[in-house]
Amino acid sequence: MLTRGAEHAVAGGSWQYGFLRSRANSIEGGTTDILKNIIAERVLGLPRLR
Amino acid sequence: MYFDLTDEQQAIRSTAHDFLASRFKSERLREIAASESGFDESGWKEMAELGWAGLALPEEWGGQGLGTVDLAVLFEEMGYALAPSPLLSNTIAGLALSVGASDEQKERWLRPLAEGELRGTPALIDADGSAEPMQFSMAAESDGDGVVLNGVKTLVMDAASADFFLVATADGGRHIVEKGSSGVTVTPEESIDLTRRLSSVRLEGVRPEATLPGSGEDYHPVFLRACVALAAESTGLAQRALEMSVSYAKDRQQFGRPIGAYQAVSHRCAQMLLETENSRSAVYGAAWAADAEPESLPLAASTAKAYASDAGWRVPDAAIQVHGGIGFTWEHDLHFFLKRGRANAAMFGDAKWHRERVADAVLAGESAPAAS
Repeated sequence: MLTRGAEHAVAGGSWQYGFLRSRANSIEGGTTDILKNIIAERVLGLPRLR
Repeated sequence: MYFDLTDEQQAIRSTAHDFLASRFKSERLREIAASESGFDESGWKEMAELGWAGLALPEEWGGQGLGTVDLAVLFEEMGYALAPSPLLSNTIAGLALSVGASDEQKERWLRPLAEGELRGTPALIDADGSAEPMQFSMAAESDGDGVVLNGVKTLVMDAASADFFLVATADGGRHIVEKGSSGVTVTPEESIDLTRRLSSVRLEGVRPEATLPGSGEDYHPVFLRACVALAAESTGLAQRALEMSVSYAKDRQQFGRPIGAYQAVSHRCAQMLLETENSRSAVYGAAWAADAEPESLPLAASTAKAYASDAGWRVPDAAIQVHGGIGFTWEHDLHFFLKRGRANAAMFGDAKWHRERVADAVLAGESAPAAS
């Protein structure tokens, strides 16, 4: 629960930071759903919905 | 690091792929699954001729002398084909003999095993013992002029087709017990995976043919390689289930479109691909570590077994959903893949057990195989 900079943060708050950071990672540069669309169409060759 | 299979490994892959696809078509698989012993003698002979029985066993003892990456390539294909074969159990017994047996014992047991003339299988898990992998309760009792074994080993793979068991005892020792020895009773167990049979082996006052001089420590790297081979097999199961699903999703029409056009289906397929690819990467990372960087094998093997334990049943499970009603039928092959995946997940330490090993290793400061 304690963040970076808090005196008693475990491992300098890196676990807490990673948890929050991973939310942003799932959105920036293409959300998980958009990337799954791309994988389905480009890698697996599944048809487009439209 | 750039990792790729060598030309020789590619050749093993394509030979295995084609051979297994031709030998284990659905109808044949079902015949073997329905048979009394679950053993396919002719398939075994052909595999032995291809050198698979001793693929990763030492050349000086009749093996091919290849490495763990080669083994992973082969077992990925074995999983892809869902080949019902004692090859995995025989390989593990061979690896244990390679590290634990004396030269005389290797000549007597390992050479014929590596050449496919004699089949061995490990008898590890005590029926009344701990579920902790590699901890055994059966005592190696001494009666003055040798070892005597009493107790029941369970979840023994391929006992029906094995010639001898490699029985583990509490002191970490391994003992060779011939199936026909007096005091040995093999009882097939009912289990979910009809393509890999499990039995219990009761030992009553059995004097083993031989006791290996190796100690418990010697077999730890063998256990880790067995985990990698099993994880490779689960990766192959996942790959096959993925391919079946993608093909079905392109073909099957619903509401005027192929079902693969709908995101509920296509995203499921994408997730299956992710889990299959991650599983494969973890497996080959561990297989590479086994041969090139053994100090990172414990972490890498547990990473691979933890991940592939999950992917090996989650992907076939998702495949059944993609197939809808037909995927749920006995006539469709997918249930065989799901069942093998579940059985593999539980064998040699489940995902939770291996994740604990990963946590132990990471917290102790170990790192993944050669990142640079």
